[in-house]
Amino acid sequence: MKKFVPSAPEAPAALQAARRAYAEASARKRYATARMLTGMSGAERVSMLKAAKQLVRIAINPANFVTISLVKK
Amino acid sequence: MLELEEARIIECDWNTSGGTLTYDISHLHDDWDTLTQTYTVESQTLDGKLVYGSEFLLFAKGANVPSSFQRYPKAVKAKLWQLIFVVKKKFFEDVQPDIVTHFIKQPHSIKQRFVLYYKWLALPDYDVDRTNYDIIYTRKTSPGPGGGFLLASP
Repeated sequence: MKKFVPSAPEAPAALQAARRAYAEASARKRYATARMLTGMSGAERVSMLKAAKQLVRIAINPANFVTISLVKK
Repeated sequence: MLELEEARIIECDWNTSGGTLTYDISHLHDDWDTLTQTYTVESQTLDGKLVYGSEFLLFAKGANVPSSFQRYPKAVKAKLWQLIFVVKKKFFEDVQPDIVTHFIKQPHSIKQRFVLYYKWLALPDYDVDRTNYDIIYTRKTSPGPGGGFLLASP
C-alpha cells in the first residue's frame, strides 16, 4: 500500500491563511446575501419555517391547534 | 460511506462560536488541494439558540482563491461530494449545533441539493427541511427555534 504523505507541510502557511480568510469572508458574504434576498435573518427564516409547519399540521388536523399567546407589550 | 482520515485534516478549529476545517483532497485528483468547510454564527433565535451558516470552498493546488470543480469527471466529483458531507457530519458530531442553515444562492437547484443532503447528511437527531433558499437542520431535542405565533395587543 502506498504511504500517504500529507501535502499540508509543503503548503506555505501564508497560502493556508489566505484561503482561510477567503473562506470566512465568503461565508459572511453568503449570509449577508441571504438576508438581502429574503429580507430575513437565518433565525427569522427558521421561525417562518416553524410557523409554516405548524399551519400545515393545523390544516391536516385542526385538533393540533392548541393556543395562541396574547402578549401585552 | 467515506471516512475522514485524521492525517488529512490540515486544520480544524470549530467550536460553538463556529470555525473552519481544512481537509487535504489531493488524493482525489492531481489538480486539487484542499476543501475548507466554514461555519459562522449567522443569528440567534429569541430563545437564545445559535443559527449557523455553512460555506464550503474548494481550492486547486497553489490557488489562494477557490475554484470551480465542475469540469472534472462525474465519478471523482461524486467522491468529493461524499467527502464534503462527511466533513459536514463531523461539525454536527463535534459541536452539536441546534440549527444549521445551508443557504443556496440558486433557488432552482434547491430540490436537487436537498436530495443530496437528505441522502448523504441524514442525521437521526435532526429534522431537515427546505425553504425556497435554505436547507435547514434543526435538532430534534431542541424545544424549538422560537418564533411561531406571537400576537401583541395594542
